[in-house]
Amino acid sequence: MKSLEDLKKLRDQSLKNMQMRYQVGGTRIQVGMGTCGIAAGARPVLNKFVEEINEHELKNIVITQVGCMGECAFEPIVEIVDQDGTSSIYCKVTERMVNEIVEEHLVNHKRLDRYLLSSVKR
Amino acid sequence: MDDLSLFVLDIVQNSIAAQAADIGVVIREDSATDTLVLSVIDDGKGMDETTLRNAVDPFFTTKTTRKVGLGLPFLKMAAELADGSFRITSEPGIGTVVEASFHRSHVNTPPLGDMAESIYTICLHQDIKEFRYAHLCDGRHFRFSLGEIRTIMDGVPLTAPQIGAYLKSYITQHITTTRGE
Repeated sequence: MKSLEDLKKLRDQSLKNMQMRYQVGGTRIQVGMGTCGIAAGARPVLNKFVEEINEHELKNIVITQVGCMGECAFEPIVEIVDQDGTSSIYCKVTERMVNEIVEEHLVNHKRLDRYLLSSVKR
Repeated sequence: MDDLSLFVLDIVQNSIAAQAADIGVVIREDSATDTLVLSVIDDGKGMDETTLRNAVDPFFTTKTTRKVGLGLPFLKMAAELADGSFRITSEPGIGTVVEASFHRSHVNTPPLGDMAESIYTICLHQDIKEFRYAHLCDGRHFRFSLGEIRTIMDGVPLTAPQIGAYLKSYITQHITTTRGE
Protein backbone atom coordinates (compact mmCIF):
# COMPACT_ATOMS: atom_id res chain seq x y z
CA MET A 1 0.00 0.00 0.00
CA LYS A 2 1.43 3.32 -1.01
CA SER A 3 1.27 6.06 1.55
CA LEU A 4 2.12 9.69 1.86
CA GLU A 5 5.05 8.65 4.02
CA ASP A 6 6.57 6.85 1.04
CA LEU A 7 5.85 9.83 -1.14
CA LYS A 8 7.73 12.00 1.32
CA LYS A 9 10.65 9.58 1.28
CA LEU A 10 10.72 9.67 -2.52
CA ARG A 11 10.62 13.42 -2.48
CA ASP A 12 13.48 13.56 0.05
CA GLN A 13 15.43 11.06 -2.01
CA SER A 14 15.16 13.10 -5.18
CA LEU A 15 16.06 16.22 -3.24
CA LYS A 16 19.14 14.50 -1.88
CA ASN A 17 20.14 13.32 -5.36
CA MET A 18 19.72 16.81 -6.68
CA GLN A 19 21.95 18.20 -3.96
CA MET A 20 24.58 15.53 -4.56
CA ARG A 21 24.59 16.13 -8.27
CA TYR A 22 24.96 19.80 -7.61
CA GLN A 23 27.92 19.17 -5.34
CA VAL A 24 29.60 16.73 -7.72
CA GLY A 25 29.25 19.18 -10.58
CA GLY A 26 30.55 22.16 -8.67
CA THR A 27 33.43 23.33 -6.55
CA ARG A 28 33.34 22.47 -2.87
CA ILE A 29 34.93 24.68 -0.23
CA GLN A 30 35.33 22.99 3.13
CA VAL A 31 36.20 25.14 6.12
CA GLY A 32 37.49 23.45 9.26
CA MET A 33 35.14 24.44 12.08
CA GLY A 34 36.45 22.37 14.94
CA THR A 35 37.45 24.02 18.21
CA CYS A 36 40.93 24.55 16.77
CA GLY A 37 39.61 26.13 13.58
CA ILE A 38 37.22 28.44 15.42
CA ALA A 39 39.89 29.54 17.90
CA ALA A 40 42.27 30.26 15.03
CA GLY A 41 39.75 32.44 13.16
CA ALA A 42 37.79 30.14 10.84
CA ARG A 43 34.51 32.00 11.32
CA PRO A 44 35.56 35.31 9.69
CA VAL A 45 37.38 33.32 7.00
CA LEU A 46 34.20 31.43 6.10
CA ASN A 47 32.16 34.63 6.09
CA LYS A 48 34.76 36.28 3.86
CA PHE A 49 34.46 33.42 1.38
CA VAL A 50 30.69 33.91 1.22
CA GLU A 51 31.17 37.65 0.59
CA GLU A 52 33.92 37.26 -2.00
CA ILE A 53 32.07 34.57 -3.94
CA ASN A 54 29.08 36.89 -4.15
CA GLU A 55 31.23 39.81 -5.13
CA HIS A 56 32.77 37.85 -8.00
CA GLU A 57 29.36 36.41 -8.87
CA LEU A 58 30.74 32.88 -8.88
CA LYS A 59 28.23 30.10 -9.47
CA ASN A 60 28.04 26.46 -8.50
CA ILE A 61 30.19 26.69 -5.40
CA VAL A 62 29.18 25.01 -2.18
CA ILE A 63 30.67 26.07 1.14
CA THR A 64 30.51 23.50 3.88
CA GLN A 65 31.77 23.38 7.44
CA VAL A 66 33.69 20.34 8.54
CA GLY A 67 35.25 19.25 11.82
CA CYS A 68 38.88 19.10 12.81
CA MET A 69 41.08 17.63 10.08
CA GLY A 70 43.85 16.66 12.48
CA GLU A 71 46.26 19.48 11.67
CA CYS A 72 45.20 21.90 14.40
CA ALA A 73 48.47 23.85 14.35
CA PHE A 74 47.78 24.89 10.75
CA GLU A 75 44.24 26.17 11.23
CA PRO A 76 42.28 27.86 9.81
CA ILE A 77 42.31 25.19 7.12
CA VAL A 78 40.28 25.48 3.95
CA GLU A 79 40.05 22.63 1.47
CA ILE A 80 38.97 23.41 -2.06
CA VAL A 81 37.76 20.47 -4.09
CA ASP A 82 37.56 21.44 -7.74
CA GLN A 83 35.05 20.16 -10.25
CA ASP A 84 37.47 17.44 -11.41
CA GLY A 85 37.97 16.25 -7.83
CA THR A 86 41.39 17.86 -7.30
CA SER A 87 41.86 18.83 -3.69
CA SER A 88 43.90 21.80 -2.48
CA ILE A 89 44.35 22.25 1.24
CA TYR A 90 45.12 25.83 2.20
CA CYS A 91 46.37 26.42 5.72
CA LYS A 92 46.75 29.30 8.16
CA VAL A 93 44.18 31.14 6.07
CA THR A 94 43.51 34.79 6.87
CA GLU A 95 40.77 37.08 5.59
CA ARG A 96 43.33 38.77 3.35
CA MET A 97 44.36 35.45 1.86
CA VAL A 98 40.70 34.72 1.03
CA ASN A 99 40.76 37.59 -1.49
CA GLU A 100 43.74 36.08 -3.22
CA ILE A 101 42.45 32.50 -3.08
CA VAL A 102 39.12 33.53 -4.61
CA GLU A 103 40.74 35.58 -7.36
CA GLU A 104 43.52 33.16 -8.24
CA HIS A 105 42.09 29.73 -7.48
CA LEU A 106 38.38 30.17 -8.07
CA VAL A 107 38.37 32.83 -10.80
CA ASN A 108 41.65 32.17 -12.66
CA HIS A 109 41.86 28.46 -11.76
CA LYS A 110 45.45 28.83 -10.60
CA ARG A 111 46.39 27.07 -7.41
CA LEU A 112 48.29 29.18 -4.86
CA ASP A 113 51.03 26.69 -4.06
CA ARG A 114 52.71 28.77 -1.37
CA TYR A 115 49.63 28.65 0.86
CA LEU A 116 49.12 24.90 0.59
CA LEU A 117 49.48 22.75 3.69
CA SER A 118 51.93 20.55 1.80
CA SER A 119 54.17 23.58 1.15
CA VAL A 120 53.88 25.18 4.59
CA LYS A 121 54.22 21.98 6.60
CA ARG A 122 57.81 20.77 6.52
CA MET B 1 38.29 31.43 22.61
CA ASP B 2 38.01 35.19 22.85
CA ASP B 3 34.30 35.64 23.37
CA LEU B 4 30.97 33.94 24.04
CA SER B 5 29.91 33.95 20.39
CA LEU B 6 32.86 31.68 19.53
CA PHE B 7 31.92 29.32 22.38
CA VAL B 8 28.38 29.19 21.01
CA LEU B 9 29.63 28.34 17.53
CA ASP B 10 31.93 25.67 18.92
CA ILE B 11 29.39 23.98 21.20
CA VAL B 12 26.77 24.01 18.42
CA GLN B 13 29.25 22.20 16.15
CA ASN B 14 29.15 19.40 18.75
CA SER B 15 25.37 19.27 18.40
CA ILE B 16 25.68 19.10 14.62
CA ALA B 17 28.27 16.33 14.93
CA ALA B 18 25.73 14.51 17.13
CA GLN B 19 23.26 14.68 14.22
CA ALA B 20 20.93 17.09 15.96
CA ALA B 21 18.11 18.42 13.79
CA ASP B 22 16.86 20.99 16.28
CA ILE B 23 19.30 23.11 18.23
CA GLY B 24 18.55 25.90 20.66
CA VAL B 25 20.83 28.50 22.18
CA VAL B 26 19.61 30.64 25.06
CA ILE B 27 21.47 33.49 26.68
CA ARG B 28 19.90 34.81 29.84
CA GLU B 29 21.30 37.94 31.41
CA ASP B 30 20.06 39.38 34.65
CA SER B 31 21.28 42.59 36.25
CA ALA B 32 19.64 41.91 39.62
CA THR B 33 21.56 38.66 40.15
CA ASP B 34 24.53 39.82 38.03
CA THR B 35 24.51 36.60 36.05
CA LEU B 36 24.80 35.49 32.45
CA VAL B 37 23.75 31.96 31.62
CA LEU B 38 24.47 30.32 28.28
CA SER B 39 22.56 27.17 27.37
CA VAL B 40 22.85 24.97 24.30
CA ILE B 41 20.08 22.41 23.92
CA ASP B 42 19.97 19.81 21.17
CA ASP B 43 18.05 16.72 20.10
CA GLY B 44 21.17 14.91 18.92
CA LYS B 45 22.11 11.34 19.66
CA GLY B 46 23.16 12.14 23.22
CA MET B 47 25.81 10.47 25.33
CA ASP B 48 25.87 7.51 27.65
CA GLU B 49 27.08 7.93 31.22
CA THR B 50 30.71 7.04 30.54
CA THR B 51 31.03 9.37 27.56
CA LEU B 52 29.29 12.13 29.50
CA ARG B 53 31.70 11.74 32.41
CA ASN B 54 34.62 12.02 30.01
CA ALA B 55 33.18 14.90 27.99
CA VAL B 56 34.93 17.63 29.96
CA ASP B 57 38.25 15.77 30.03
CA PRO B 58 40.51 17.50 27.47
CA PHE B 59 42.24 14.23 26.71
CA PHE B 60 39.04 12.53 25.74
CA THR B 61 37.42 12.82 22.33
CA THR B 62 35.24 10.71 20.08
CA LYS B 63 37.07 12.19 17.10
CA THR B 64 39.48 10.01 15.21
CA THR B 65 41.55 12.81 13.68
CA ARG B 66 43.28 13.80 16.91
CA LYS B 67 43.71 12.79 20.53
CA VAL B 68 42.33 15.85 22.34
CA GLY B 69 38.92 17.48 22.62
CA LEU B 70 39.05 21.00 23.99
CA GLY B 71 35.65 22.49 23.22
CA LEU B 72 33.75 21.64 26.40
CA PRO B 73 36.80 21.90 28.72
CA PHE B 74 37.41 25.44 27.37
CA LEU B 75 33.87 26.52 28.18
CA LYS B 76 33.98 24.91 31.62
CA MET B 77 37.25 26.67 32.37
CA ALA B 78 35.94 30.03 31.17
CA ALA B 79 32.84 29.75 33.37
CA GLU B 80 34.79 28.69 36.43
CA LEU B 81 37.33 31.48 35.94
CA ALA B 82 34.42 33.94 35.99
CA ASP B 83 33.05 32.70 39.29
CA GLY B 84 30.40 30.69 37.46
CA SER B 85 29.57 27.07 36.92
CA PHE B 86 29.27 24.48 34.19
CA ARG B 87 26.78 21.68 33.76
CA ILE B 88 26.17 19.09 31.10
CA THR B 89 23.34 16.61 30.99
CA SER B 90 22.63 14.12 28.27
CA GLU B 91 20.51 11.14 27.44
CA PRO B 92 21.18 8.72 24.58
CA GLY B 93 18.58 9.14 21.87
CA ILE B 94 17.12 12.27 23.47
CA GLY B 95 19.79 14.96 23.32
CA THR B 96 22.21 17.06 25.30
CA VAL B 97 22.04 20.24 27.36
CA VAL B 98 25.16 22.28 28.03
CA GLU B 99 24.89 25.13 30.47
CA ALA B 100 27.56 27.60 31.52
CA SER B 101 26.88 30.41 33.93
CA PHE B 102 29.02 33.48 34.49
CA HIS B 103 29.22 36.16 37.15
CA ARG B 104 28.35 38.88 34.64
CA SER B 105 30.45 41.77 35.95
CA HIS B 106 33.41 39.51 36.73
CA VAL B 107 36.56 40.67 34.98
CA ASN B 108 37.03 37.20 33.48
CA THR B 109 33.58 36.95 31.92
CA PRO B 110 34.18 36.95 28.17
CA PRO B 111 32.43 39.65 26.10
CA LEU B 112 29.50 38.57 23.94
CA GLY B 113 31.45 39.04 20.72
CA ASP B 114 29.94 38.95 17.25
CA MET B 115 26.97 36.73 18.03
CA ALA B 116 25.31 37.62 14.72
CA GLU B 117 28.20 36.14 12.75
CA SER B 118 28.07 32.95 14.82
CA ILE B 119 24.30 32.64 14.32
CA TYR B 120 24.64 33.23 10.57
CA THR B 121 27.49 30.72 10.34
CA ILE B 122 25.40 28.10 12.15
CA CYS B 123 22.46 28.80 9.81
CA LEU B 124 24.63 27.91 6.79
CA HIS B 125 24.59 24.26 7.87
CA GLN B 126 22.18 22.54 5.53
CA ASP B 127 21.70 19.46 7.71
CA ILE B 128 19.99 21.19 10.62
CA LYS B 129 16.24 21.55 10.44
CA GLU B 130 15.84 24.19 13.08
CA PHE B 131 18.13 26.49 14.98
CA ARG B 132 16.70 28.81 17.56
CA TYR B 133 18.41 31.60 19.40
CA ALA B 134 16.89 33.45 22.32
CA HIS B 135 18.49 36.31 24.16
CA LEU B 136 16.84 37.45 27.38
CA CYS B 137 17.95 40.42 29.42
CA ASP B 138 16.11 42.13 32.28
CA GLY B 139 12.65 41.44 30.88
CA ARG B 140 13.52 42.21 27.27
CA HIS B 141 14.01 39.45 24.73
CA PHE B 142 14.98 38.63 21.16
CA ARG B 143 14.06 35.41 19.44
CA PHE B 144 15.44 34.08 16.18
CA SER B 145 14.39 30.98 14.27
CA LEU B 146 16.15 29.54 11.24
CA GLY B 147 12.92 27.79 10.23
CA GLU B 148 11.13 31.10 10.08
CA ILE B 149 13.95 32.61 8.02
CA ARG B 150 13.91 29.68 5.60
CA THR B 151 10.16 30.03 5.14
CA ILE B 152 10.67 33.65 4.23
CA MET B 153 13.58 32.77 1.91
CA ASP B 154 11.43 30.13 0.17
CA GLY B 155 14.29 28.03 -1.19
CA VAL B 156 16.77 30.80 -1.81
CA PRO B 157 20.04 29.95 -0.01
CA LEU B 158 21.22 32.14 2.85
CA THR B 159 24.52 32.59 1.03
CA ALA B 160 22.79 34.59 -1.72
CA PRO B 161 24.08 38.15 -2.21
CA GLN B 162 23.20 40.62 0.54
CA ILE B 163 21.29 38.10 2.63
CA GLY B 164 24.19 37.52 5.02
CA ALA B 165 24.89 41.19 5.56
CA TYR B 166 21.21 41.94 6.15
CA LEU B 167 20.67 39.05 8.56
CA LYS B 168 23.80 39.86 10.55
CA SER B 169 22.89 43.50 10.98
CA TYR B 170 19.29 42.55 11.86
CA ILE B 171 20.49 40.17 14.59
CA THR B 172 23.11 42.57 15.94
CA GLN B 173 20.56 45.36 16.15
CA HIS B 174 18.07 43.26 18.08
CA ILE B 175 20.65 41.83 20.47
CA THR B 176 22.01 45.30 21.19
CA THR B 177 18.52 46.59 21.95
CA THR B 178 17.75 43.56 24.09
CA ARG B 179 20.88 44.12 26.13
CA GLY B 180 19.85 47.75 26.67
CA GLU B 181 23.01 49.08 25.07
